[in-house]
Amino acid sequence: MTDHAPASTSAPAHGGHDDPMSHVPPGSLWPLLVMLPLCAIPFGVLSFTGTLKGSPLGPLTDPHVGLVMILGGTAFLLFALMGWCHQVIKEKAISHDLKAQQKDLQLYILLFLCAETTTFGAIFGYFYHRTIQDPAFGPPHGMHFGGPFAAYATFLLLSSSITCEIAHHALDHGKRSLSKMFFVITLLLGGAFLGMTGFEWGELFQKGFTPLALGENGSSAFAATFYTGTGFHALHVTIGLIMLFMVLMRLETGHFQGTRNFSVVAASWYWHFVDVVWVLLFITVYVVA
Amino acid sequence: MSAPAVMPPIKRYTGVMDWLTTVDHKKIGLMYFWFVLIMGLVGGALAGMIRIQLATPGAVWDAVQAAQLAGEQLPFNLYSEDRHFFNQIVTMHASVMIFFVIIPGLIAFANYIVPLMIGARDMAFPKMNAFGFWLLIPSAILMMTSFWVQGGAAATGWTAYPPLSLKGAGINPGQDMWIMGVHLAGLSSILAAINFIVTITNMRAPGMGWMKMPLFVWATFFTSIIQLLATPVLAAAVTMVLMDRNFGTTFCDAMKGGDPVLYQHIFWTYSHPAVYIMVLPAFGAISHIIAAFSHKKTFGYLGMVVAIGSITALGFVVWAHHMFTVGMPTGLQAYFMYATLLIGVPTGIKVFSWIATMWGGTLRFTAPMLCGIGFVSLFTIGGFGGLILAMVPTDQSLHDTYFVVGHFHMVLVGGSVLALFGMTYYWWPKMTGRMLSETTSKWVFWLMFWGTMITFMTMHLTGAAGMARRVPVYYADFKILNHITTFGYALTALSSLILFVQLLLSYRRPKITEDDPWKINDVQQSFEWATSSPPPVYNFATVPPIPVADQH
Ligand SMILES: [Cu+2]
Repeated sequence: MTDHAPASTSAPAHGGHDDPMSHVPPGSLWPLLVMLPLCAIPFGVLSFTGTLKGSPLGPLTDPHVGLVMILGGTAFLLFALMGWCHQVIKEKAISHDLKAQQKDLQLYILLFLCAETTTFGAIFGYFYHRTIQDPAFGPPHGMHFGGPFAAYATFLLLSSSITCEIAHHALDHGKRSLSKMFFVITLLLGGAFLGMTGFEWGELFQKGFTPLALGENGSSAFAATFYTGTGFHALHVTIGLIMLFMVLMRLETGHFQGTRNFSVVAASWYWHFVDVVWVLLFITVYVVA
Repeated sequence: MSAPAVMPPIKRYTGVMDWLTTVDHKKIGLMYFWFVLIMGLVGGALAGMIRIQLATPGAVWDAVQAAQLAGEQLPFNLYSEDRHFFNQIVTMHASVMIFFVIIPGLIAFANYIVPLMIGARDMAFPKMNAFGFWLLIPSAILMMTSFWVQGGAAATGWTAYPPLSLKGAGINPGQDMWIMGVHLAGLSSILAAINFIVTITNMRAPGMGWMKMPLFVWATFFTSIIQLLATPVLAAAVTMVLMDRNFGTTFCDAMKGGDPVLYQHIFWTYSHPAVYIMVLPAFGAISHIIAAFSHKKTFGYLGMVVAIGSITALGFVVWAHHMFTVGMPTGLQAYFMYATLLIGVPTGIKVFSWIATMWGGTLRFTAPMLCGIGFVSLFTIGGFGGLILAMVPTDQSLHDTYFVVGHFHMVLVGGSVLALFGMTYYWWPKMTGRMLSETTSKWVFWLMFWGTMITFMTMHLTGAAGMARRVPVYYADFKILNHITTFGYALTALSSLILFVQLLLSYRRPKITEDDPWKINDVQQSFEWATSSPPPVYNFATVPPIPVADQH
């Protein structure tokens, strides 16, 4: 990402001459490099699961090759993503127009969250459509579902949203150590929530409520929806935690000195989003069901 | 060149590395374009295989008829390997044409032209833009190699309805590969959409307010909104199938308490809006082309913007008109029928505006103009077929016949593809700095126009007569109609091949020097004609010298 101010700002208005080529960002091999493992990993999975046996795809028919492709592809993907982030952070430091750039990035994350909302919307849509059509769509008969444990987890996640906001606010006012402390608290609360989700899943598994458990209507659709919804949400919590952790690390190394704090904004918006989705999900799977 | 003191000199790549590392929206647009041309030939070849199979009723069907007449047992299994292969071809023809030709084809032009039109130097996120293009490659590889795996490619039609798409007997990873391909193509779509919305919102030249944006920019903006909101829903739908197939869940499996009809609802929640992803940018571009060669301004700019906006909004609430035969409550059917018919209103506004733009204008029948007029005619015809299908009673008898196939091909080929041809002829001089031969271009147009007309008008008749879609063999009564359809296909194939060769050879033609080779910008006043052909890497050295204020 680099400067993209409209052409007029580069007009020689300030007396000196301005070379338009200086506004042209350098090329980057990273997008292509990130694509390569995204091609290798699916084929690796197919090969590893043995589904390509007997097809004329050469070495891909050997599951061992598949395993190598999955592991190597994942490692390469992480490497390429980090390379990409590194280049972006480096380039941002020499940007021409910070304000415009921050505006773009904020809109970007907002739109991204819109797309996420419709993804969750599809899951909710499935759930409510089934609930309305089939009264028996629900947990297995006689099963005690939900309870105070989920409520505690919700409480933790909600408070983490508040601590995240405090941390963000503190950073805006230059109180860096206070900000760091609250980011740590947020991380701990989020981690605790994730742990409790895992614990809850374990409990449910022990009671026999697996993703394929049959409900009152003799179908596992409810269990699958429950685990897909909460699992997809847990994945988002994990991503949010990684983002918050990266913010914390960059705070530690002295980043975010001036107005360049997009990553903080992004991480905190994402975290609030994860929070709101959880509230809806909680109401859906525990209260409505 | 001397870099300003604030910035260290930037390392620049050259040659092949320049293309592999490019973040320039123009180079990315051209890469999209050539990818689309090649995939277009692949998709066209698949269509050719379908048409060759359907050129004759098929010996199989004659035997079936004979056996039925004689009251004998069928001499063979109707659901043979050949039938399965035919279904694979049909499915992949649709998937290639939708995910790798029409959608990225329109994105190719949006990529190249939109930043120029709004006077920007590039897209807001140039690297994301490049990534969006690169993602199409693994997606295409996944889908195309699936022909060679056990069980072959996906064979369910591009809708992947369960239970057909669920795991039957035996392994068929082709369906899983198709789903993963859709995921990657969808991700590419979403990234492109976010990029366009941010670019258009934040990077317009000073003085270009929302209501001064060229119509193509508006169309891209609304298209991006649809892509952004609808594509994740498609991903969710196919993921349900993926999980049912591989992890034992039963979201869609009716035998085990799943709900296959709900899959259809979720699928069409994406896929009806998706038809507007495939046509709205064409609407925008056609407005420019018709205005340019009528030497007038677009008639009713505000009406056009409102029409595109309302098509976008309405597009999200009409999806179940694809499902009138699944047994919906009558009230719902009535709602979806009326809502669908309502879309005819903004579409009609657009058609009237194009005609009014031509009215009293100084018309120049160049190749892009011919494509523009061809687009308006064929799209309108296709649209009328849509009205017929939107009505519940007629749809229930025409559902899954060739009438439906004829309808959506008329709007996609006569509409989107012809518009893509027109956009190519209109912007090719700008994109490459080379004019194309008008004579060849007009041959391409007329072949495509009559090819489309013959192929798909005939399909309407075949369908009304009762021929079902997705069958490789048919009753001999449909023979002549199918002969004609295959002949029409040959014309469109010839047209596309000429276009492909013409574009390849154009790189050997002399370079032009004008910024505005069509001599239209005194009326068009669009920024892309105010820079050299092709534009420099930085698009504009200074603010484009056009009074944007009275653009419309
Ligand atoms: Cu539709």
